[in-house]
Amino acid sequence: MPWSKLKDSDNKTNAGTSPKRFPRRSRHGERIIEGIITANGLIAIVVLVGVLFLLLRTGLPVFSHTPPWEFFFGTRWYPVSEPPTFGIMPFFVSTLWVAGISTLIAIPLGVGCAAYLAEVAPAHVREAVKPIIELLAGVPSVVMGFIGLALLSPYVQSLFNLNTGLSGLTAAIMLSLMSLPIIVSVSEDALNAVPHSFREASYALGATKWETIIHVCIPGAISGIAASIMLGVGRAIGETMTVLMVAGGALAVPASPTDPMMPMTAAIASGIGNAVRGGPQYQALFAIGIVLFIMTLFVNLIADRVLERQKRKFART
Amino acid sequence: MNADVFPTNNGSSHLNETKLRSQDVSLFYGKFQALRSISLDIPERAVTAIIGPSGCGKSSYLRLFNRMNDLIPDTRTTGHVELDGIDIYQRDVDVVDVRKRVGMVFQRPNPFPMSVFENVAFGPRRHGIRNREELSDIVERSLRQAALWDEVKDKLAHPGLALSGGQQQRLCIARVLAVEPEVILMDEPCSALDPVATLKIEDLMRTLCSEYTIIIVTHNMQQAARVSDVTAFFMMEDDRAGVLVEAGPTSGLFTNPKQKTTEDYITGRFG
Repeated sequence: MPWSKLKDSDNKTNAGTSPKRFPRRSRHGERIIEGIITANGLIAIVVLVGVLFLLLRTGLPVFSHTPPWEFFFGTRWYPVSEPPTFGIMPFFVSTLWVAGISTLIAIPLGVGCAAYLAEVAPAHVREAVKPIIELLAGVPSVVMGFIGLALLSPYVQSLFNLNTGLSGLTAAIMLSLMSLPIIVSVSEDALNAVPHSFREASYALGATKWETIIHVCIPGAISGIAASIMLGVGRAIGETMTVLMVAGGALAVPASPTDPMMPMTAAIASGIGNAVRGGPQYQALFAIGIVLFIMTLFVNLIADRVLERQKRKFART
Repeated sequence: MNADVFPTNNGSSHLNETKLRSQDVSLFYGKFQALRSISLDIPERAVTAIIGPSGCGKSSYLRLFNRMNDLIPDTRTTGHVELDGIDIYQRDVDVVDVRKRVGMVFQRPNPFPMSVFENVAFGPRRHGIRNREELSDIVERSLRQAALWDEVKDKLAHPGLALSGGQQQRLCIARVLAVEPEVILMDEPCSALDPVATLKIEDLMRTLCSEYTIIIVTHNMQQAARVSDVTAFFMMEDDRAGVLVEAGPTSGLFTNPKQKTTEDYITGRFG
């Protein structure tokens, strides 16, 4: 009875109109927004391809006057002598020293800090410390350079008995501080992603907190930690201003980390102002840019891969 | 009050001596009281089952015995928990030693993301065994004891997480056995397993209890009836969680419960 009645009244409300349909409405607004979002996505790709294209077009002609062998392995960079020589070995080695040492410093500090925050620190300490570390990421690099110049370099100078405190080591220390935030925050996320049940199992077997961190938590998060280190290295390789200010800017191939040096970024930044647009030096500087681009691209690609693996690792639970 | 519903030690002669004893133990999570002055003796080399509805404090009670509740911030324990007559909550007791003697198997199989071998060797390694041969012996012995050796002897280098659920749980049991504990706590060890795997674990428990003291928390009353020698029934009352209603030899408790609540629960009238 109620069923038929319901049906009846239903028909009544719809009286006059034909059976219910779903008339298509035009949604111009929707389309426009979709278009804008798609365009935004494309812009990023276009810009990247454009940058690469520009780099290659401006940089590659360097090989018309300097053979690749001389460019990559030459130890002399004399852009204004006659004939000019463009060997990027000093810059390349400097970058390796600075990035390498800063990574060596940043790994134990960063991972240790992340392990402390994720495993040891009580909640209120974590809440307080994490934003502070992330704030460190926001310090402009010129300010970091200034700190290195004014505060750190005198210490480095007196500690190692150097002629100048402006050295690769000084730059590396500042860079390690700058890559710390990303290492800490990505590593901490990775540690937090390790299921709690692993820790419980470890403690229940009589492992101490330290053993649990070393043998369970860190191995469990190792790909995330590796990725964070890669991202930190990427930052250290690409950082310019700090390095320009405190690395010392010497043109010789550095033999020790305490030598003054000029990493590739600093070489580009300091050279580009004097270079004649389109001239041989200009081309050589862009070619350094290509090398840098490839280096950071590789580091970031590896980091991406490793992070992806970390995400899949614990998908089961 | 709990004392007179508890006949284990004086009543039944066939039960072994007391291995673990809780005396007037209460547990608080912050302001919430999870256990209310529980007194219970756990007999040595026997299976003691703890049953009761969800949220009645069974797991909290189990985790007293290896001090796993310590890991949860803001918990407080009063009363005495004794292992071989020594209060394990005393100040000078090293919790690592307690956990070496009192192992634990969890609700969900939780092998480490390492090889089968490394999973079993984890405990011995932490306790200082470095010699590869010695470790191999321990791993083989533990896997045999856990009735898993024949299934994994060719897969020792495979990841533990690649085993089936039931195998993973037996791997976790082997991992505990490798530390040579005296007591094994099992927190609903079969709740994530299928009936066949469950039976295997139950058989294993019956075998192991000739050497180990086992306490099992279970939702499944048939399981308690099948595997345990002694059963303790926990209950929450209105807004009060963590009350021990009745404990005694399993056959007696299931056929002739002394408390009305117990009878209602085991006949399935609630819970």
